[in-house]
Amino acid sequence: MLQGKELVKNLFKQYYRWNALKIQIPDQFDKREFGFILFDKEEQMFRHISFKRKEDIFHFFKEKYPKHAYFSTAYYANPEIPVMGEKGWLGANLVFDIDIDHIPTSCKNMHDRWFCLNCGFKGNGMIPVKCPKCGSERIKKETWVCEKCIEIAKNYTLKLIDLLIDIFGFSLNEMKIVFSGHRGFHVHIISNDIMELDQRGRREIVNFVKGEGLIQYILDRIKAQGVFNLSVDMNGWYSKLAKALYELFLTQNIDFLKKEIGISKKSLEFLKNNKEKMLRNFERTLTWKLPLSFNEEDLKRILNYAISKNNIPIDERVTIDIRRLIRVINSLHGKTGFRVIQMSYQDLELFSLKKAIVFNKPEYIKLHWENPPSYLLDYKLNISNKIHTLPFYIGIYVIENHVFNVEILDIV
Amino acid sequence: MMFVKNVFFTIEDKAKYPFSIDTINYIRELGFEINDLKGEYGRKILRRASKRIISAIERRNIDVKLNEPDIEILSFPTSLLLVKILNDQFLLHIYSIAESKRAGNLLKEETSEKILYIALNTFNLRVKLINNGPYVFMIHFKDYLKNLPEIHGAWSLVNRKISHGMVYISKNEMARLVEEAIKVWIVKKVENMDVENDIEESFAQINYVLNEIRNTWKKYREKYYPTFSISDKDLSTIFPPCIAFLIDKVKAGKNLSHSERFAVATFLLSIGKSVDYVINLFRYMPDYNEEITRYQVEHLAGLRGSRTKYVTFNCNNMRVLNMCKENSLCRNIKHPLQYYYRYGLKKHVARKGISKKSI
Repeated sequence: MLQGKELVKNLFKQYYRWNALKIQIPDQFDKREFGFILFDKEEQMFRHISFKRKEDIFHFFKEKYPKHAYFSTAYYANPEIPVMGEKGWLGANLVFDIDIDHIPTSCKNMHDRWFCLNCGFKGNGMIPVKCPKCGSERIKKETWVCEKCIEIAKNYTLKLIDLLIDIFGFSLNEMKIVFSGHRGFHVHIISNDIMELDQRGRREIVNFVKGEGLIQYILDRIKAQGVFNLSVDMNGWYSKLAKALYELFLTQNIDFLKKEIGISKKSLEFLKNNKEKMLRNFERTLTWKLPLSFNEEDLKRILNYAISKNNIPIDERVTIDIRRLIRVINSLHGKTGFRVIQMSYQDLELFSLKKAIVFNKPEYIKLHWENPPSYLLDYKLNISNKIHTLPFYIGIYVIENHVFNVEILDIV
Repeated sequence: MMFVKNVFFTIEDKAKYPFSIDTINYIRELGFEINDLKGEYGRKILRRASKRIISAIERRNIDVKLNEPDIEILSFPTSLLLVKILNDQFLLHIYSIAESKRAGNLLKEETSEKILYIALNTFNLRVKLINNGPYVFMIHFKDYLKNLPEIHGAWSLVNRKISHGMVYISKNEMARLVEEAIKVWIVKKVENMDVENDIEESFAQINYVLNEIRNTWKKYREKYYPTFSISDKDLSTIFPPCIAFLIDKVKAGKNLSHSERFAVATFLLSIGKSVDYVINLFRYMPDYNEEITRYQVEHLAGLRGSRTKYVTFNCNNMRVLNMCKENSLCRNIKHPLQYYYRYGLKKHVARKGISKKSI
């Protein structure tokens, strides 16, 4: 394994020797905090670093070839002061993170697995927060990214950008669309409009994007007035919900409602007898009179489903945090060897992981690796083999990301 | 100045909205100075200024007197001066709310054009008059979020019509947002005011009204802000440094962020303090709102909503949220509660000679 680490370290070193000048310097870089994780000192992050001149940043990358490189979304009067409260916060970009780790996808069954360190229970697919058997949070995980995951993250990112333009009025000129180098995308908004927005304000934006707070409001109104008229000509979210409910009742059969949404027997019975009448009623009035004879729990389930058809699963911590560190554009991601790249909206539509590959050498890496995932990046593995000869960039990803035993045998 | 059709800002308007840019310009033109408060006319102004504050304390509201507009106008900056000299965060809080309420109630009765005029010229809000059904205005979401009076229900962004950065609102909602802007304006104005130290000694007249206000305030302060029962000594010894820091911040009359509130409230609830205990603490914050606070704290205590009882962040998350204030005792501590059980509780028990159960 040591051999693998040395290999990657040298690749990074060489890369930055020739490409340090490609590092994208953020605007007002002298007001930003930088943070790095270096090879051989990986347990520690070097933070509170600031640069006065652009050349110093290039020089740093050339000399230190960091494994991971970050800068603050915030601007500070004194970014180098190690105490957060004394840095003198001046404002922050608004940043969104779409990370496939937080989004259930069908391909996860092929490449993600986990193991409970407490009771030994294990499984494939989406990593649970707690062990479903013993409830322990001590879970060892092994996750990989593939073209399918990135495609899903990409579509959510496009949807997010559309929303930021249509709803919040931002323009593409104010946005940086960035592949994070691993499992997803970042969207940075650099605009005076949001610079001084506090956490409370950012939380409101997050709630809008995720559709949080809708159900509680609807339930409160029902409690107060007995009925909530959900109509297509209402405000943004409500109109979407009204349409989503129509689609649901029109296209999905009772079985789906039972299995996927989990509504109760009583409600199913009601739907069986009244679905057609409900749909006709809606076509006439374009309004649902909630709660539609559903009990509170079933109504919540149905609304949750309608929201999930329209919301965007951003990582809310990233957006709300006004002192976040985020990856430097054009730096390398230490877990994949991929480049963090900025792209246009059109490029995002056409994006594939191939575009981020840096170590695309003609050699192959031969590994001893038992029980690999069946699919990662754009590559299928034969899981019954113990020896794998992989394209160079895939080999690097495996060496950097793998958490269990893997051994380099040769480079051929 | 932005011109708005059909708006004439009369002398009465200047008296109704004494924070407006028009009034400020008018006062500047009058050339009235602090020393003028010593005269006969000045005494009238001081009396009205003192009345404004006392009424804010006693009735949480301020009436409108338009028979002598100049007095009404000049008494406002004088009130700000008095509040500044009294130097009490809580008084400033109560006063700024009462003044903004006074203006907010008047605004609701005005034409949409006049509200627009004030929003544009005095507060530089990005607002447009659209007169479209229930939506009379649209306002840029940044200005909307900055002046939000409440953070849940109908006010939360997710429940609004919003398009291309503009939030659609009614006339009353616009008046309410401006009301909030007025409150913030007053607090900022007073905080940034420069006053000479000896002003009270050299002005018998000012000293007189200040004592009047002090006497009234003394009676009400305890009622509005009951003394909080955690002593400074307890704070520094039995609570983990992160939580103690936040409680200190509250007691100094500063607002906490959303996650800071969460941390304090869940911590206190976890160690067995009551909902009212937490609410009494939060009363110290300038943006305290009884209804919202009670709702939120009860929610955290598991008395509302999903009935989940929330637990404080662990140390890792505290660090991520920049709320960690690690000290030497924090070694091997992974959760603020752990600190309390390991060190705090013992000290508390030892000092007070009481059993664990009674805390």
